[in-house]
Amino acid sequence: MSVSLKRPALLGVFSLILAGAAGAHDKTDSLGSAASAVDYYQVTCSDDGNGAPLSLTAQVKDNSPVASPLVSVSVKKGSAATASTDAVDGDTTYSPLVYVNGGAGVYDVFVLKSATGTENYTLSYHCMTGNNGAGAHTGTTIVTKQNK
Amino acid sequence: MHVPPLFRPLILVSALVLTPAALAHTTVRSAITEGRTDDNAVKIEHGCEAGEGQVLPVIAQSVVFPTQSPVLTLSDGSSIGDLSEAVEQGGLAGLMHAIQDRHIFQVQQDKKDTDGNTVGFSGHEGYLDAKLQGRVSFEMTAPNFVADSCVKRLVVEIAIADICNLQVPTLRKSKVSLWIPNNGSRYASKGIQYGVQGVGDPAVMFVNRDQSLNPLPITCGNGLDLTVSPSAADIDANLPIPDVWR
Repeated sequence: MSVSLKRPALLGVFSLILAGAAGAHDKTDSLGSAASAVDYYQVTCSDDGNGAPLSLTAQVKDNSPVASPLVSVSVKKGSAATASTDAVDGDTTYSPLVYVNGGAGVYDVFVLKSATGTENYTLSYHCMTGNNGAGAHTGTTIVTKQNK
Repeated sequence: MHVPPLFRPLILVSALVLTPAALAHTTVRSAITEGRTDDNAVKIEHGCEAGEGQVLPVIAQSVVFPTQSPVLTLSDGSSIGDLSEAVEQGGLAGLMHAIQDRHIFQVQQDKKDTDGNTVGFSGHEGYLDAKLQGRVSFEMTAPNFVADSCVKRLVVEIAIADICNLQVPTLRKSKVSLWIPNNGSRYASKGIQYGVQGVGDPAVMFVNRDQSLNPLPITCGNGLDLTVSPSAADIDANLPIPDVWR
């Protein structure tokens, strides 16, 4: 197959578009200066036609500007909980992906930090039809309960 | 025309039968079940009564779900302190979102509370032919029922204003239909004062408990319905469409 000089540029842009569109459930916000500042969300996992949910995945990215506190996310449903911390502020890498196998219903999700100082973050969260974050993306609805 | 006495009762009955029934309500298309997120729709069945059988087209709409201190009524008359006793989410804010669809309204937006959670939606710059029905789509995530509650179904009353004229004074019979509870809100009071259709007849969306996956406790018997209705303050605060209609 011959490809004209114009096509590689178009293919590159198309690839970027596809990469950005994959299952995006992101929440970008900030934590106030107080060391005790916590943003509290509830994520409801449901069947949106893709299947019944079995798990919620979560990870957080500590955004610029670079500051000393480390940003973490914790997730709880029933008696199961997990947490993940972004070790490097201001880069493009999220914290390790974590999950809770809690099925359908409401998950409590907390974004917090390790010290005084305002922090910007992006929370990524997805309800999945398989355990341990596997399977297909399904109904994922976030509600803000506390914004600090 | 002289009508023999024998036929007068028949004529009276005929007149009653032929009198047009009250116009149908604006309501919600489908019941929903916990554990699901589905597309749903507000059904607009008619425009605004303008007298002498005339009906005016809807050009804007405001939809408010009960999210701010809703009025809670159990079907057996018992009391419930808070919606968190019945649903895990503790409330309905954030569970609904308008779906963009400009076949009626060119401008649409979600209504938000102070935390940024959706509490309703609106549309304006629109036109729904008075002879046709309309559907305004929205996505709804059903709340999850608390396992040990006796509630088997939520009866969610939704306040809806179907607006046919934006000119002040707005709350007049031919300018709007107010499908809202009669609960002392400014809209209910003015609506009743000026004969606006719909006050006391809010739209209703049923949310069903999934009793196969989340059965009622045995002590609950057949379970209870919980009516969740917007408060007067909620309607007064959120029914307006900012800079468009109030």
